[in-house]
Amino acid sequence: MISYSIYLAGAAVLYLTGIYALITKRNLIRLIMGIEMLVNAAHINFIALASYWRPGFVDPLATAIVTVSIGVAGCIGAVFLAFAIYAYKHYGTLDVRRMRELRG
Amino acid sequence: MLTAVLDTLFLFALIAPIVGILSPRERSHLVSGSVALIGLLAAAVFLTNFLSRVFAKPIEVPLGAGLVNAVLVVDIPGLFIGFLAVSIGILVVLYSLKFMERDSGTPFYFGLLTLMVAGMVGVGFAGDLFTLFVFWELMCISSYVLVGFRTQVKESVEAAVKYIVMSAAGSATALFGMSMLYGLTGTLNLVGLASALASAKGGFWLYAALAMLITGFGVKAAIVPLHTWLPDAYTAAPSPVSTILAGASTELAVFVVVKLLFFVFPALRGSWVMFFATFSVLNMLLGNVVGLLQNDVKRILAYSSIAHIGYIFIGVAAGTQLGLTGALLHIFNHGLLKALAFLCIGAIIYRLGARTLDDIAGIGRKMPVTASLFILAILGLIGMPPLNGFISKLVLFTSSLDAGMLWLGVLLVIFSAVSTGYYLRILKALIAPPSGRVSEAREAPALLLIPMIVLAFLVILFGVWPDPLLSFAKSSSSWLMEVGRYA
Repeated sequence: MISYSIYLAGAAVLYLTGIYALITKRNLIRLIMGIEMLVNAAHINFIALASYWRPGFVDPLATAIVTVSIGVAGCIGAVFLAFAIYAYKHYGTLDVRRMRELRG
Repeated sequence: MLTAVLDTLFLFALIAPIVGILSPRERSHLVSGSVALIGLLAAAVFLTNFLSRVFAKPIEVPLGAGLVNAVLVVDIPGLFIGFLAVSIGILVVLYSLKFMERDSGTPFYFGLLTLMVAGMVGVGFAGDLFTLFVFWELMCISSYVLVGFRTQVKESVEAAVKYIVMSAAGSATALFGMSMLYGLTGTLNLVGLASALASAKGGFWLYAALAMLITGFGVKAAIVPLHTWLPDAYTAAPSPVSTILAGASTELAVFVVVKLLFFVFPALRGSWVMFFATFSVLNMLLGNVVGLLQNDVKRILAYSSIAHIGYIFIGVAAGTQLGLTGALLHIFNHGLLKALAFLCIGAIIYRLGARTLDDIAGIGRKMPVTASLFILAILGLIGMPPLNGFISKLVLFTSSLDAGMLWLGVLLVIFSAVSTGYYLRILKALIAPPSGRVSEAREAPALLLIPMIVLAFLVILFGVWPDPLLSFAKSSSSWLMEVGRYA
Protein backbone atom coordinates (compact mmCIF):
# COMPACT_ATOMS: atom_id res chain seq x y z
CA MET A 1 0.00 0.00 0.00
CA ILE A 2 1.26 3.43 -0.92
CA SER A 3 1.43 5.83 1.99
CA TYR A 4 -0.72 8.95 2.12
CA SER A 5 2.22 11.27 1.94
CA ILE A 6 2.72 10.51 -1.75
CA TYR A 7 -0.79 11.70 -2.60
CA LEU A 8 -0.46 14.73 -0.38
CA ALA A 9 2.92 15.60 -1.87
CA GLY A 10 1.43 15.20 -5.33
CA ALA A 11 -1.41 17.56 -4.42
CA ALA A 12 1.05 20.09 -3.02
CA VAL A 13 3.14 19.92 -6.20
CA LEU A 14 0.01 20.38 -8.32
CA TYR A 15 -1.00 23.36 -6.19
CA LEU A 16 2.41 25.00 -6.53
CA THR A 17 2.37 24.37 -10.29
CA GLY A 18 -0.99 26.13 -10.46
CA ILE A 19 0.32 29.11 -8.49
CA TYR A 20 3.39 29.22 -10.76
CA ALA A 21 1.12 29.23 -13.81
CA LEU A 22 -0.98 32.06 -12.37
CA ILE A 23 2.09 34.16 -11.61
CA THR A 24 4.11 33.69 -14.77
CA LYS A 25 1.62 33.02 -17.58
CA ARG A 26 0.02 35.87 -19.48
CA ASN A 27 -2.50 34.03 -21.62
CA LEU A 28 -6.06 33.93 -20.30
CA ILE A 29 -6.52 30.29 -21.29
CA ARG A 30 -3.38 29.34 -19.36
CA LEU A 31 -4.63 31.26 -16.35
CA ILE A 32 -7.85 29.24 -16.27
CA MET A 33 -5.73 26.09 -16.51
CA GLY A 34 -3.78 27.31 -13.48
CA ILE A 35 -6.98 27.86 -11.53
CA GLU A 36 -8.25 24.39 -12.43
CA MET A 37 -4.94 22.97 -11.19
CA LEU A 38 -5.42 24.67 -7.82
CA VAL A 39 -8.94 23.30 -7.51
CA ASN A 40 -7.90 19.80 -8.52
CA ALA A 41 -5.04 19.80 -6.02
CA ALA A 42 -7.61 20.36 -3.30
CA HIS A 43 -9.74 17.55 -4.75
CA ILE A 44 -6.84 15.08 -4.63
CA ASN A 45 -6.19 16.11 -1.05
CA PHE A 46 -9.79 15.48 -0.09
CA ILE A 47 -9.96 12.07 -1.75
CA ALA A 48 -6.64 10.96 -0.28
CA LEU A 49 -7.63 12.04 3.21
CA ALA A 50 -11.10 10.46 3.04
CA SER A 51 -9.77 7.06 4.06
CA TYR A 52 -7.18 8.38 6.50
CA TRP A 53 -9.18 8.52 9.72
CA ARG A 54 -10.65 5.03 9.93
CA PRO A 55 -8.85 2.14 8.21
CA GLY A 56 -11.10 0.30 5.80
CA PHE A 57 -13.67 3.09 5.70
CA VAL A 58 -13.88 5.79 3.09
CA ASP A 59 -15.69 8.91 4.24
CA PRO A 60 -18.43 9.70 1.69
CA LEU A 61 -18.27 13.38 2.74
CA ALA A 62 -15.06 13.86 0.77
CA THR A 63 -16.51 12.24 -2.34
CA ALA A 64 -19.59 14.43 -2.06
CA ILE A 65 -17.47 17.54 -1.69
CA VAL A 66 -15.32 16.67 -4.67
CA THR A 67 -18.34 15.87 -6.84
CA VAL A 68 -20.00 19.17 -6.05
CA SER A 69 -16.76 21.09 -6.30
CA ILE A 70 -16.06 19.70 -9.76
CA GLY A 71 -19.39 21.16 -10.82
CA VAL A 72 -18.52 24.50 -9.25
CA ALA A 73 -15.13 24.52 -10.94
CA GLY A 74 -16.91 23.84 -14.22
CA CYS A 75 -19.08 26.92 -13.65
CA ILE A 76 -16.05 29.08 -12.93
CA GLY A 77 -14.35 27.78 -16.05
CA ALA A 78 -17.43 28.51 -18.17
CA VAL A 79 -17.81 32.06 -16.84
CA PHE A 80 -14.09 32.73 -17.25
CA LEU A 81 -14.00 31.44 -20.82
CA ALA A 82 -17.05 33.52 -21.69
CA PHE A 83 -15.24 36.62 -20.46
CA ALA A 84 -12.11 35.51 -22.30
CA ILE A 85 -14.15 35.60 -25.52
CA TYR A 86 -15.39 39.12 -24.75
CA ALA A 87 -11.85 40.21 -23.85
CA TYR A 88 -10.64 38.86 -27.17
CA LYS A 89 -13.37 40.78 -29.00
CA HIS A 90 -12.40 44.04 -27.28
CA TYR A 91 -8.62 43.76 -27.27
CA GLY A 92 -7.91 41.38 -30.14
CA THR A 93 -5.59 39.35 -27.93
CA LEU A 94 -5.70 37.04 -24.92
CA ASP A 95 -2.57 38.59 -23.41
CA VAL A 96 -3.43 40.09 -20.01
CA ARG A 97 -0.51 42.54 -20.27
CA ARG A 98 -2.40 44.35 -23.05
CA MET A 99 -5.47 44.89 -20.88
CA ARG A 100 -4.65 48.18 -19.29
CA GLU A 101 -7.73 50.37 -19.35
CA LEU A 102 -7.87 50.47 -15.56
CA ARG A 103 -4.94 51.42 -13.43
CA GLY A 104 -4.13 53.38 -10.34
CA MET B 1 -35.83 22.33 2.37
CA LEU B 2 -33.08 24.92 2.94
CA THR B 3 -34.99 27.11 5.41
CA ALA B 4 -37.77 29.40 4.22
CA VAL B 5 -35.39 32.30 3.49
CA LEU B 6 -33.13 30.47 1.07
CA ASP B 7 -36.00 28.60 -0.55
CA THR B 8 -37.76 31.86 -1.32
CA LEU B 9 -34.62 33.44 -2.69
CA PHE B 10 -33.85 30.48 -4.96
CA LEU B 11 -37.43 30.25 -6.16
CA PHE B 12 -37.61 33.92 -7.06
CA ALA B 13 -34.13 33.86 -8.58
CA LEU B 14 -35.53 31.30 -11.03
CA ILE B 15 -38.88 32.99 -11.59
CA ALA B 16 -37.54 36.52 -12.13
CA PRO B 17 -35.67 35.86 -15.41
CA ILE B 18 -38.37 33.55 -16.79
CA VAL B 19 -41.13 36.09 -16.20
CA GLY B 20 -38.89 38.84 -17.54
CA ILE B 21 -38.18 37.02 -20.79
CA LEU B 22 -41.85 36.24 -21.35
CA SER B 23 -42.97 39.85 -20.88
CA PRO B 24 -42.71 42.58 -23.55
CA ARG B 25 -39.16 43.75 -24.07
CA GLU B 26 -39.61 47.38 -23.03
CA ARG B 27 -41.13 46.36 -19.70
CA SER B 28 -39.07 43.24 -18.97
CA HIS B 29 -36.80 44.99 -16.48
CA LEU B 30 -39.78 46.27 -14.50
CA VAL B 31 -41.49 42.87 -14.43
CA SER B 32 -38.46 40.79 -13.49
CA GLY B 33 -37.24 43.45 -11.07
CA SER B 34 -40.57 43.52 -9.25
CA VAL B 35 -40.58 39.73 -9.00
CA ALA B 36 -37.06 39.77 -7.54
CA LEU B 37 -38.11 42.55 -5.19
CA ILE B 38 -41.10 40.53 -3.95
CA GLY B 39 -38.80 37.55 -3.34
CA LEU B 40 -36.32 39.61 -1.37
CA LEU B 41 -39.06 41.24 0.69
CA ALA B 42 -40.51 37.81 1.48
CA ALA B 43 -37.02 36.65 2.48
CA ALA B 44 -36.72 39.65 4.79
CA VAL B 45 -40.04 38.72 6.42
CA PHE B 46 -38.87 35.14 6.96
CA LEU B 47 -35.57 36.39 8.42
CA THR B 48 -37.49 38.53 10.90
CA ASN B 49 -39.56 35.45 11.76
CA PHE B 50 -36.39 33.57 12.60
CA LEU B 51 -35.20 36.33 14.87
CA SER B 52 -37.47 35.55 17.79
CA ARG B 53 -36.98 31.78 17.51
CA VAL B 54 -33.19 31.79 17.31
CA PHE B 55 -32.32 33.83 20.38
CA ALA B 56 -32.64 30.87 22.76
CA LYS B 57 -31.14 28.18 20.58
CA PRO B 58 -29.86 28.01 16.99
CA ILE B 59 -31.97 26.01 14.57
CA GLU B 60 -30.19 23.16 12.81
CA VAL B 61 -31.40 22.25 9.34
CA PRO B 62 -29.77 19.06 8.02
CA LEU B 63 -29.33 18.98 4.25
CA GLY B 64 -29.67 15.77 2.32
CA ALA B 65 -29.48 12.54 4.19
CA GLY B 66 -27.26 9.85 5.58
CA LEU B 67 -23.54 9.99 5.89
CA VAL B 68 -22.91 13.34 4.24
CA ASN B 69 -23.17 15.61 7.22
CA ALA B 70 -23.98 18.94 5.59
CA VAL B 71 -25.98 21.26 7.77
CA LEU B 72 -27.34 24.79 7.91
CA VAL B 73 -27.31 26.40 11.33
CA VAL B 74 -29.51 29.47 11.68
CA ASP B 75 -27.95 31.45 14.50
CA ILE B 76 -27.64 35.05 15.63
CA PRO B 77 -24.41 35.90 13.75
CA GLY B 78 -25.89 34.34 10.61
CA LEU B 79 -29.01 36.45 10.94
CA PHE B 80 -26.87 39.53 11.57
CA ILE B 81 -25.11 39.17 8.24
CA GLY B 82 -28.29 37.87 6.57
CA PHE B 83 -30.11 41.07 7.44
CA LEU B 84 -27.30 43.17 5.95
CA ALA B 85 -27.30 41.12 2.74
CA VAL B 86 -31.07 41.05 2.27
CA SER B 87 -31.67 44.69 3.12
CA ILE B 88 -28.95 45.90 0.77
CA GLY B 89 -30.28 43.45 -1.83
CA ILE B 90 -33.78 44.95 -1.58
CA LEU B 91 -32.51 48.50 -1.96
CA VAL B 92 -30.21 47.58 -4.84
CA VAL B 93 -33.01 45.82 -6.74
CA LEU B 94 -35.27 48.83 -6.21
CA TYR B 95 -32.50 51.11 -7.45
CA SER B 96 -31.75 48.91 -10.46
CA LEU B 97 -35.35 49.13 -11.67
CA LYS B 98 -34.51 52.61 -12.90
CA PHE B 99 -30.73 52.44 -13.23
CA MET B 100 -30.58 49.42 -15.52
CA GLU B 101 -33.51 50.42 -17.76
CA ARG B 102 -31.26 51.13 -20.73
CA ASP B 103 -29.39 47.80 -20.53
CA SER B 104 -30.28 44.61 -22.31
CA GLY B 105 -30.56 41.26 -20.55
CA THR B 106 -31.96 42.76 -17.37
CA PRO B 107 -34.11 39.68 -16.54
CA PHE B 108 -30.89 37.75 -15.99
CA TYR B 109 -29.43 40.65 -14.07
CA PHE B 110 -32.21 40.49 -11.48
CA GLY B 111 -32.00 36.71 -11.29
CA LEU B 112 -28.27 36.89 -10.65
CA LEU B 113 -28.72 39.62 -8.05
CA THR B 114 -31.21 37.46 -6.15
CA LEU B 115 -28.88 34.46 -6.43
CA MET B 116 -26.01 36.53 -5.08
CA VAL B 117 -28.10 37.52 -2.05
CA ALA B 118 -29.07 33.86 -1.61
CA GLY B 119 -25.39 32.92 -1.63
CA MET B 120 -24.60 35.55 0.99
CA VAL B 121 -27.43 34.46 3.29
CA GLY B 122 -26.35 30.84 2.80
CA VAL B 123 -22.76 31.64 3.80
CA GLY B 124 -24.09 33.29 6.93
CA PHE B 125 -26.20 30.23 7.76
CA ALA B 126 -23.65 27.55 6.80
CA GLY B 127 -22.96 25.09 9.58
CA ASP B 128 -20.03 23.36 7.94
CA LEU B 129 -17.23 24.41 5.65
CA PHE B 130 -18.57 22.40 2.71
CA THR B 131 -21.94 24.20 2.72
CA LEU B 132 -20.10 27.45 3.26
CA PHE B 133 -17.92 26.77 0.22
CA VAL B 134 -20.86 25.95 -2.04
CA PHE B 135 -22.80 29.09 -1.08
CA TRP B 136 -19.60 31.12 -1.25
CA GLU B 137 -19.06 30.01 -4.82
CA LEU B 138 -22.71 30.77 -5.62
CA MET B 139 -22.13 34.33 -4.45
CA CYS B 140 -18.76 34.60 -6.22
CA ILE B 141 -19.87 33.25 -9.59
CA SER B 142 -22.96 35.45 -9.75
CA SER B 143 -20.86 38.45 -8.77
CA TYR B 144 -18.33 37.68 -11.56
CA VAL B 145 -21.11 37.85 -14.11
CA LEU B 146 -22.60 40.97 -12.53
CA VAL B 147 -19.27 42.84 -12.52
CA GLY B 148 -18.84 42.16 -16.20
CA PHE B 149 -22.54 42.54 -16.97
CA ARG B 150 -22.01 45.34 -19.50
CA THR B 151 -19.99 43.20 -21.87
CA GLN B 152 -19.94 45.97 -24.47
CA VAL B 153 -17.83 48.12 -22.12
CA LYS B 154 -14.12 47.40 -22.39
CA GLU B 155 -13.13 48.22 -18.81
CA SER B 156 -16.00 46.17 -17.45
CA VAL B 157 -14.73 43.01 -19.15
CA GLU B 158 -11.19 43.73 -18.06
CA ALA B 159 -12.23 44.21 -14.44
CA ALA B 160 -14.27 41.01 -14.53
CA VAL B 161 -11.29 39.04 -15.85
CA LYS B 162 -8.99 40.39 -13.14
CA TYR B 163 -11.63 39.75 -10.52
CA ILE B 164 -12.25 36.15 -11.63
CA VAL B 165 -8.56 35.24 -11.72
CA MET B 166 -7.91 36.56 -8.21
CA SER B 167 -11.14 35.43 -6.64
CA ALA B 168 -11.17 31.95 -8.16
CA ALA B 169 -7.56 31.38 -7.12
CA GLY B 170 -8.62 32.52 -3.64
CA SER B 171 -11.57 30.15 -3.52
CA ALA B 172 -9.36 27.26 -4.64
CA THR B 173 -6.83 28.14 -1.94
CA ALA B 174 -9.59 28.17 0.65
CA LEU B 175 -10.74 24.75 -0.59
CA PHE B 176 -7.18 23.47 -0.23
CA GLY B 177 -7.09 24.83 3.31
CA MET B 178 -10.38 23.08 4.04
CA SER B 179 -8.97 19.79 2.76
CA MET B 180 -6.00 20.17 5.12
CA LEU B 181 -8.29 20.97 8.01
CA TYR B 182 -10.36 17.93 7.09
CA GLY B 183 -7.22 15.80 7.14
CA LEU B 184 -6.27 17.14 10.56
CA THR B 185 -9.63 16.72 12.27
CA GLY B 186 -11.75 14.36 10.16
CA THR B 187 -14.70 16.73 10.08
CA LEU B 188 -15.79 19.93 8.38
CA ASN B 189 -18.63 20.80 10.73
CA LEU B 190 -17.83 24.20 12.26
CA VAL B 191 -18.87 23.20 15.78
CA GLY B 192 -17.05 19.88 15.40
CA LEU B 193 -13.94 21.67 14.15
CA ALA B 194 -14.13 24.13 17.00
CA SER B 195 -14.29 21.40 19.62
CA ALA B 196 -11.59 19.33 17.89
CA LEU B 197 -9.24 22.31 17.76
CA ALA B 198 -10.17 23.72 21.17
CA SER B 199 -6.94 22.60 22.76
CA ALA B 200 -4.77 22.62 19.65
CA LYS B 201 -1.17 23.57 20.27
CA GLY B 202 -0.46 24.61 16.72
CA GLY B 203 2.00 22.76 14.56
CA PHE B 204 2.96 23.33 10.95
CA TRP B 205 -0.08 21.78 9.25
CA LEU B 206 -2.62 23.60 11.37
CA TYR B 207 -0.91 26.94 10.73
CA ALA B 208 -0.71 26.11 7.04
CA ALA B 209 -4.44 25.29 6.94
CA LEU B 210 -5.27 28.52 8.76
CA ALA B 211 -3.02 30.54 6.48
CA MET B 212 -4.61 29.05 3.36
CA LEU B 213 -8.14 29.64 4.61
CA ILE B 214 -7.38 33.24 5.53
CA THR B 215 -5.60 33.83 2.23
CA GLY B 216 -8.46 32.28 0.31
CA PHE B 217 -11.26 34.22 1.96
CA GLY B 218 -8.97 37.22 2.35
CA VAL B 219 -8.92 37.76 -1.41
CA LYS B 220 -12.59 38.72 -1.29
CA ALA B 221 -12.07 40.54 2.00
CA ALA B 222 -9.33 42.66 0.34
CA ILE B 223 -6.60 42.02 2.90
CA VAL B 224 -3.86 44.24 1.60
CA PRO B 225 -1.51 42.28 -0.61
CA LEU B 226 -4.61 40.64 -2.13
CA HIS B 227 -6.69 43.77 -2.72
CA THR B 228 -5.68 44.57 -6.31
CA TRP B 229 -8.94 43.40 -7.91
CA LEU B 230 -11.10 45.58 -5.66
CA PRO B 231 -10.67 49.11 -7.05
CA ASP B 232 -11.02 47.85 -10.62
CA ALA B 233 -14.10 45.75 -9.94
CA TYR B 234 -15.84 48.44 -7.92
CA THR B 235 -15.08 51.06 -10.54
CA ALA B 236 -15.99 49.13 -13.65
CA ALA B 237 -19.11 47.35 -12.38
CA PRO B 238 -22.50 49.03 -12.85
CA SER B 239 -23.18 51.18 -9.77
CA PRO B 240 -25.83 48.94 -8.17
CA VAL B 241 -23.41 46.02 -8.47
CA SER B 242 -20.62 48.09 -6.90
CA THR B 243 -23.09 48.82 -4.13
CA ILE B 244 -23.84 45.22 -3.35
CA LEU B 245 -20.16 44.26 -3.69
CA ALA B 246 -19.01 47.00 -1.33
CA GLY B 247 -21.99 46.94 0.99
CA ALA B 248 -22.58 43.24 1.41
CA SER B 249 -20.19 40.92 -0.42
CA THR B 250 -16.87 42.26 0.87
CA GLU B 251 -18.39 42.70 4.33
CA LEU B 252 -19.49 39.07 4.20
CA ALA B 253 -15.96 37.97 3.34
CA VAL B 254 -14.65 39.88 6.36
CA PHE B 255 -17.38 38.23 8.41
CA VAL B 256 -16.25 34.77 7.26
CA VAL B 257 -12.63 35.56 8.17
CA VAL B 258 -13.75 36.82 11.57
CA LYS B 259 -15.97 33.80 12.13
CA LEU B 260 -13.19 31.37 11.25
CA LEU B 261 -10.75 33.10 13.56
CA PHE B 262 -12.97 33.53 16.59
CA PHE B 263 -15.12 30.42 16.22
CA VAL B 264 -12.81 27.74 14.83
CA PHE B 265 -9.31 28.93 15.71
CA PRO B 266 -9.56 30.58 19.14
CA ALA B 267 -6.80 28.27 20.34
CA LEU B 268 -4.28 30.00 18.07
CA ARG B 269 -5.36 33.49 19.09
CA GLY B 270 -1.89 34.42 20.32
CA SER B 271 -0.48 34.06 16.82
CA TRP B 272 -3.22 35.51 14.61
CA VAL B 273 -3.70 38.60 16.77
CA MET B 274 -0.32 40.03 15.77
CA PHE B 275 -0.85 39.15 12.12
CA PHE B 276 -4.13 40.96 12.03
CA ALA B 277 -2.67 43.99 13.78
CA THR B 278 -0.19 44.12 10.87
CA PHE B 279 -2.88 43.61 8.23
CA SER B 280 -4.94 46.31 9.88
CA VAL B 281 -2.12 48.84 9.67
CA LEU B 282 -1.31 47.82 6.08
CA ASN B 283 -4.95 48.13 5.00
CA MET B 284 -5.39 51.51 6.65
CA LEU B 285 -2.09 52.80 5.26
CA LEU B 286 -2.61 51.65 1.69
CA GLY B 287 -6.30 52.49 1.51
CA ASN B 288 -5.94 55.97 2.89
CA VAL B 289 -2.71 56.97 1.17
CA VAL B 290 -3.56 55.64 -2.28
CA GLY B 291 -7.08 57.00 -1.86
CA LEU B 292 -5.60 60.49 -1.67
CA LEU B 293 -4.06 60.10 -5.14
CA GLN B 294 -7.24 59.09 -6.95
CA ASN B 295 -9.35 61.30 -9.16
CA ASP B 296 -12.23 58.91 -9.83
CA VAL B 297 -14.92 59.05 -7.13
CA LYS B 298 -15.67 55.33 -7.34
CA ARG B 299 -11.98 54.53 -6.98
CA ILE B 300 -11.75 56.83 -3.96
CA LEU B 301 -14.65 54.97 -2.40
CA ALA B 302 -13.02 51.64 -3.25
CA TYR B 303 -9.78 52.60 -1.51
CA SER B 304 -11.81 53.91 1.40
CA SER B 305 -13.35 50.41 1.59
CA ILE B 306 -9.86 48.93 1.90
CA ALA B 307 -9.11 51.38 4.69
CA HIS B 308 -12.34 50.54 6.48
CA ILE B 309 -11.52 46.83 6.33
CA GLY B 310 -8.34 47.84 8.15
CA TYR B 311 -10.47 49.50 10.84
CA ILE B 312 -12.52 46.30 11.17
CA PHE B 313 -9.33 44.30 11.66
CA ILE B 314 -8.50 46.45 14.69
CA GLY B 315 -11.32 44.64 16.45
CA VAL B 316 -9.90 41.31 15.27
CA ALA B 317 -6.43 42.27 16.47
CA ALA B 318 -7.85 43.13 19.88
CA GLY B 319 -9.04 39.53 20.04
CA THR B 320 -11.55 40.22 22.81
CA GLN B 321 -15.33 40.04 22.81
CA LEU B 322 -15.51 43.83 22.72
CA GLY B 323 -13.23 43.78 19.69
CA LEU B 324 -15.44 41.22 17.96
CA THR B 325 -18.54 43.28 18.75
CA GLY B 326 -16.85 46.35 17.28
CA ALA B 327 -15.78 44.42 14.19
CA LEU B 328 -19.30 43.08 13.57
CA LEU B 329 -20.81 46.48 14.23
CA HIS B 330 -18.43 48.15 11.81
CA ILE B 331 -19.12 45.44 9.21
CA PHE B 332 -22.80 46.38 9.39
CA ASN B 333 -22.37 50.14 9.64
CA HIS B 334 -19.71 50.35 6.97
CA GLY B 335 -21.92 48.23 4.73
CA LEU B 336 -24.77 50.73 5.06
CA LEU B 337 -22.54 53.79 4.65
CA LYS B 338 -20.61 52.48 1.66
CA ALA B 339 -23.83 51.30 0.02
CA LEU B 340 -25.26 54.80 0.43
CA ALA B 341 -22.12 56.39 -1.02
CA PHE B 342 -22.11 54.09 -4.05
CA LEU B 343 -25.82 54.65 -4.69
CA CYS B 344 -25.23 58.42 -4.61
CA ILE B 345 -22.37 58.34 -7.09
CA GLY B 346 -24.52 55.96 -9.14
CA ALA B 347 -27.28 58.55 -9.31
CA ILE B 348 -24.74 61.15 -10.44
CA ILE B 349 -23.45 58.74 -13.10
CA TYR B 350 -27.05 58.12 -14.19
CA ARG B 351 -27.63 61.82 -14.82
CA LEU B 352 -24.17 62.88 -15.93
CA GLY B 353 -22.37 59.79 -17.20
CA ALA B 354 -19.18 60.95 -15.49
CA ARG B 355 -17.50 60.05 -12.25
CA THR B 356 -14.21 61.92 -11.97
CA LEU B 357 -13.89 64.74 -9.47
CA ASP B 358 -13.37 67.36 -12.19
CA ASP B 359 -16.37 66.22 -14.21
CA ILE B 360 -18.83 66.19 -11.35
CA ALA B 361 -17.70 69.53 -9.89
CA GLY B 362 -20.74 71.58 -8.98
CA ILE B 363 -23.27 68.76 -9.16
CA GLY B 364 -24.46 69.64 -5.66
CA ARG B 365 -26.21 72.76 -6.94
CA LYS B 366 -28.12 70.79 -9.54
CA MET B 367 -28.85 67.59 -7.58
CA PRO B 368 -29.29 68.91 -4.04
CA VAL B 369 -30.94 65.80 -2.54
CA THR B 370 -28.38 63.37 -3.93
CA ALA B 371 -25.54 65.64 -2.89
CA SER B 372 -26.88 66.05 0.67
CA LEU B 373 -27.22 62.28 1.03
CA PHE B 374 -23.71 61.83 -0.40
CA ILE B 375 -22.36 64.32 2.13
CA LEU B 376 -24.17 62.41 4.88
CA ALA B 377 -22.48 59.18 3.74
CA ILE B 378 -19.09 60.88 3.61
CA LEU B 379 -19.50 62.31 7.10
CA GLY B 380 -20.51 58.88 8.34
CA LEU B 381 -17.43 57.31 6.74
CA ILE B 382 -15.23 59.93 8.40
CA GLY B 383 -16.93 59.07 11.71
CA MET B 384 -18.90 62.18 12.61
CA PRO B 385 -20.68 61.81 15.98
CA PRO B 386 -24.39 61.66 15.24
CA LEU B 387 -23.95 59.03 12.53
CA ASN B 388 -23.48 55.28 12.83
CA GLY B 389 -19.85 55.25 11.63
CA PHE B 390 -18.88 57.08 14.80
CA ILE B 391 -20.45 54.47 17.09
CA SER B 392 -18.59 51.53 15.59
CA LYS B 393 -15.29 53.40 15.36
CA LEU B 394 -15.73 54.30 19.02
CA VAL B 395 -16.29 50.65 19.97
CA LEU B 396 -13.24 49.63 17.92
CA PHE B 397 -11.13 52.32 19.57
CA THR B 398 -12.28 51.24 23.04
CA SER B 399 -11.54 47.61 22.23
CA SER B 400 -7.99 48.44 21.21
CA LEU B 401 -7.49 50.30 24.50
CA ASP B 402 -9.03 47.39 26.34
CA ALA B 403 -6.64 44.91 24.77
CA GLY B 404 -3.63 47.06 25.58
CA MET B 405 -3.02 48.09 21.97
CA LEU B 406 -3.25 51.83 22.36
CA TRP B 407 -1.05 52.35 19.29
CA LEU B 408 -3.67 50.70 17.06
CA GLY B 409 -6.38 52.97 18.43
CA VAL B 410 -4.19 56.01 17.88
CA LEU B 411 -3.54 54.84 14.32
CA LEU B 412 -7.31 54.52 13.81
CA VAL B 413 -7.75 58.15 14.78
CA ILE B 414 -4.77 59.34 12.73
CA PHE B 415 -5.86 57.46 9.60
CA SER B 416 -9.43 58.68 10.02
CA ALA B 417 -7.98 62.18 9.94
CA VAL B 418 -5.90 61.34 6.86
CA SER B 419 -8.94 59.89 5.13
CA THR B 420 -10.75 63.20 5.65
CA GLY B 421 -8.35 64.51 2.99
CA TYR B 422 -9.96 62.63 0.14
CA TYR B 423 -13.49 62.76 1.53
CA LEU B 424 -13.23 66.53 1.62
CA ARG B 425 -12.11 66.52 -2.02
CA ILE B 426 -15.42 64.86 -2.90
CA LEU B 427 -17.22 67.36 -0.70
CA LYS B 428 -15.48 70.26 -2.43
CA ALA B 429 -16.38 68.89 -5.84
CA LEU B 430 -20.00 68.59 -4.80
CA ILE B 431 -20.38 72.18 -3.66
CA ALA B 432 -18.22 73.89 -6.29
CA PRO B 433 -19.97 76.26 -8.74
CA PRO B 434 -21.38 74.25 -11.68
CA SER B 435 -20.09 74.65 -15.20
CA GLY B 436 -20.35 72.99 -18.61
CA ARG B 437 -22.40 69.83 -18.80
CA VAL B 438 -23.12 69.89 -15.08
CA SER B 439 -25.36 72.96 -15.39
CA GLU B 440 -27.87 70.97 -17.46
CA ALA B 441 -28.16 68.11 -14.96
CA ARG B 442 -31.41 67.54 -13.08
CA GLU B 443 -32.22 65.87 -9.76
CA ALA B 444 -32.17 62.08 -9.81
CA PRO B 445 -35.51 60.30 -10.42
CA ALA B 446 -37.58 59.24 -7.43
CA LEU B 447 -36.90 55.53 -7.86
CA LEU B 448 -33.18 56.19 -7.38
CA LEU B 449 -33.78 58.52 -4.45
CA ILE B 450 -35.98 56.17 -2.40
CA PRO B 451 -33.30 53.54 -1.62
CA MET B 452 -30.82 56.31 -0.85
CA ILE B 453 -33.23 58.01 1.55
CA VAL B 454 -33.97 54.69 3.28
CA LEU B 455 -30.25 54.04 3.75
CA ALA B 456 -29.66 57.59 4.98
CA PHE B 457 -32.49 57.11 7.46
CA LEU B 458 -30.84 53.91 8.74
CA VAL B 459 -27.46 55.65 8.95
CA ILE B 460 -28.92 58.40 11.13
CA LEU B 461 -31.13 56.00 13.10
CA PHE B 462 -28.28 53.69 14.08
CA GLY B 463 -26.21 56.77 14.89
CA VAL B 464 -28.61 58.37 17.37
CA TRP B 465 -30.12 55.12 18.65
CA PRO B 466 -27.44 52.43 18.38
CA ASP B 467 -28.76 50.22 21.20
CA PRO B 468 -30.67 47.61 19.15
CA LEU B 469 -27.84 47.13 16.67
CA LEU B 470 -25.26 47.16 19.45
CA SER B 471 -27.07 44.48 21.44
CA PHE B 472 -27.52 42.44 18.24
CA ALA B 473 -23.78 42.65 17.57
CA LYS B 474 -23.05 41.86 21.20
CA SER B 475 -25.13 38.69 21.25
CA SER B 476 -23.64 37.69 17.86
CA SER B 477 -20.16 38.04 19.28
CA SER B 478 -21.07 36.11 22.42
CA TRP B 479 -22.38 33.24 20.25
CA LEU B 480 -19.21 33.30 18.18
CA MET B 481 -16.99 33.31 21.25
CA GLU B 482 -18.75 30.52 23.16
CA VAL B 483 -18.78 27.39 21.07
CA GLY B 484 -20.16 25.31 23.95
CA ARG B 485 -23.58 26.93 23.59
CA TYR B 486 -24.11 25.19 20.24
CA ALA B 487 -23.90 21.69 21.69
